[in-house]
Amino acid sequence: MSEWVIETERLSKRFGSKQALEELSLRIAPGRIHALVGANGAGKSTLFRILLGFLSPSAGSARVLGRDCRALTPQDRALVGYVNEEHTLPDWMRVGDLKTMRQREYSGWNARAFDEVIGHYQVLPQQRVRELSRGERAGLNLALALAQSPQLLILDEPTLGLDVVAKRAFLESLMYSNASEHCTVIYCSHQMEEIERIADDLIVMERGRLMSHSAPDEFCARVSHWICDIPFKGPEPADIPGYLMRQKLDGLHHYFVLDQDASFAAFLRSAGARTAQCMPVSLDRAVNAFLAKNHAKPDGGES
Amino acid sequence: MNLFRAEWSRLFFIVALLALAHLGGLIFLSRMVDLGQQNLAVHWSFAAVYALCGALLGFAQLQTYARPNPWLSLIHRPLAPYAIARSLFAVGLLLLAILIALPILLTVLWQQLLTERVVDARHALLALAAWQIGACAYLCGAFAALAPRRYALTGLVLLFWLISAQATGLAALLLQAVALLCALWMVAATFKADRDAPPRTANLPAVALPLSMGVYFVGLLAFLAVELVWIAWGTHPNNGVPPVGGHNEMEKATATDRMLAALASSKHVDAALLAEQVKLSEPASIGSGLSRLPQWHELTNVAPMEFDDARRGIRFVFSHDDARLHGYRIRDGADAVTLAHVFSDPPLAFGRLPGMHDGDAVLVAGGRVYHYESDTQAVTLRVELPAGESLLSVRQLGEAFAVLSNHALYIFDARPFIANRDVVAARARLPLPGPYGSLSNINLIELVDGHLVVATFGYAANEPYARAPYQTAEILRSDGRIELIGRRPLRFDFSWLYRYQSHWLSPALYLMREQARFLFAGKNPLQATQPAPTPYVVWVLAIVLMLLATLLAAAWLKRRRVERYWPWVGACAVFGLPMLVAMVLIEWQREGVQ
Repeated sequence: MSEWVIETERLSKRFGSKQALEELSLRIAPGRIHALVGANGAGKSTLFRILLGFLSPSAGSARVLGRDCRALTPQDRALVGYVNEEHTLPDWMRVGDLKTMRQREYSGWNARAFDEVIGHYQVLPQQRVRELSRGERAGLNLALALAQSPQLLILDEPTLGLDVVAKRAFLESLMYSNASEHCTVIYCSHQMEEIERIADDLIVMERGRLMSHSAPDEFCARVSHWICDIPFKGPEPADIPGYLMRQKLDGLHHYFVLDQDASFAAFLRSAGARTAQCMPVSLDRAVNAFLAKNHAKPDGGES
Repeated sequence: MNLFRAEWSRLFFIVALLALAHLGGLIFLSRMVDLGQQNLAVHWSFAAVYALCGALLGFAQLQTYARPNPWLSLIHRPLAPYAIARSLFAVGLLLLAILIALPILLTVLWQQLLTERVVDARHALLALAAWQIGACAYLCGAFAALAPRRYALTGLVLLFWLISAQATGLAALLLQAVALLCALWMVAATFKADRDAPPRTANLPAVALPLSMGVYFVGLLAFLAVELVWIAWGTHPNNGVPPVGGHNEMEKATATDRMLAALASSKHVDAALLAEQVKLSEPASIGSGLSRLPQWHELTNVAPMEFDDARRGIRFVFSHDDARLHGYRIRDGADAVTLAHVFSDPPLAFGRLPGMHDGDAVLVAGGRVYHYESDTQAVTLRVELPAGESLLSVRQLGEAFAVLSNHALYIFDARPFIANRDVVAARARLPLPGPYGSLSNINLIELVDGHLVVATFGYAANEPYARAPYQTAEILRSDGRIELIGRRPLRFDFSWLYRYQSHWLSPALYLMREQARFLFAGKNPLQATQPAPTPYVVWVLAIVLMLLATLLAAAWLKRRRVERYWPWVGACAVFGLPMLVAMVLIEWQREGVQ
């Protein structure tokens, strides 16, 4: 067993003029739930496809469970579960038949894990996959993936398009499954409340680059939200240390900044602020502010 | 096996329904005609439908997996890609057997058990042929779904191969099996996790060779497009005023003008007199529309191998299995009679002989002509040409008959045919003054003591290796003497650049194409020609293009830093520009230069 479940070294992938991944060096340790966040086009799905051997890197290297991703064997694939946002499953099959098929394919099949997860849903063995609701389908997909006893489970936006109830059922079935405790989970999502709830580790990607890799709390601690009352135009973003995002609400200026301590209040006062107050930041707002910094906007626009 | 079962359950129901519809269609058509006795064109129509069904099944089956997520779900499992492919394709090929072969076999069985029609082993083998064609198209359809779009249609090359192949009978089945294996290799080369990546080096020939052949065909089609513009412009030799002294001029001339042209350049003392006789006569023409002869146990028929004895109301059908003619009543299809005569070659019903009665028929089998007499239901040998010759055409010339074989023109008297039932010997024989495969036409007039025969050779003169067209004028005396009156060389209507386009574009691919077309096929006596040596200038052009392809390939590969440098450079040196294009299509990656 390698020291890292996922290890990339200066990994790059380019599609024509678009750089999907740019010299991405990432190491993910075994165990825990690692959240991978980033705006659309950040390169998350491209990373997964490279990791699973479905795309060739333009440069650099990538290893999964210690194996070069371009040389994955069937045995390696048995150890890596993958759930995508479409929950692609054979529509025409009955749930029971699908389970039997997967059971025969995977030597380490964990029937208990399957039953444990599927128990959260009203899914009958004789039902065809196409007859399942989107939530039930997601649950079935997760049950199948966990029952494979994977060492690494990649969940690529698994709750996309699910209603609140289905989302909760999915997350609970993931969190309370014993099987998920024995594997490393990579959870890719845009839903920050989900990340906040389940992730032990947060990886932020933007435009194919690794922007941050830390515990969610640590990440939140790096981002601070300052509210100040400046009677005229505030300082220019270029002059603000650690600037991420600013907003003007009800006549007050809101600044989101990175890696700034209490001395930032002095900066605001020197810029004309009559009052300056630091507020706690939720993961959602922290990530939002972090990603907003480089978000494409029209010339002269302001975040 | 799990995947096999899953895939089977997905497709079986719809395929079973289609198979029932197919069976119903075949039974319906069999009620109307004897499908086993249809000619090649009808069989090709069926083959086209089977190929279409196969291609659609292959494309539809694999297209559902071709999107990124379904593909990932299919491949990302503890099975090697080849094992996954094996399961999917085994289902597809087995379902095709149910859809195509089974209804054909059931129809053949129905004909055998419940009708008096002739059913040979070759008819049962039609099921295998149809399945192989459908299976080949199925794999090509699967390839189209899986391969990158820029060369997804490569499989069409294999289907064109099947269409253009010359093999018959078991040889045709063997050729189809080879094409099927090629298609299997081709689709296996694409069946991998990263489908956009080029095939592995070991699998590269499976895609590169057919693709380069496809590019070669597209190149030839481009020449055709230029030709269409040429035709529209109005100066094309085939459509405008033909070049003077060329083969086209003779093709468009009347028989009289053609004979006069052949005599015009003759220095023979009688040439002028013969020309006068031509002007006063009405020249006859003799030629054959056959492009090949019937072959034993061929799966289809050059022409329907049956004739009707209208007087008795019996239809006779030839059986390849026992080499005899079997008759059934036209009225109710009941068994009538089987003729005792055993043929040495498959016969075709052919014109009439003098002295024949209603219900009689002429049967031509190789170089032998038989007379079927309705009265006695006997088959009598009337004409026997020398061994190795096949009778191709008969033309009445007053009291005589002209008979054309693939080696000679014969003149027969009509009287012995009426007087008795013996074998009739030819009065005179004129060996063809050129290979039959180059013969355009023969024109002749009757003289006081024989016939003046003008032969024009230039058929397929636009193909590579064709010899320059020419005309000969000969007199075939009644006593068998032959006198050469003149030989007139004709010009090619097209330059070497046009005639050798399929050669100089890529000599290796041209050779491969021809080898593939005639793979397992015996020599066709009707296509015999005397190949001309390739002009020096054609080779110079071909070598220049091959060098150009090699240099361009080397530069492109170096710029793109493609790993397989020498294999590609070598392939482009051998196969030229089409391989260069194939290489770019295969190796082209979206990320561009690293």
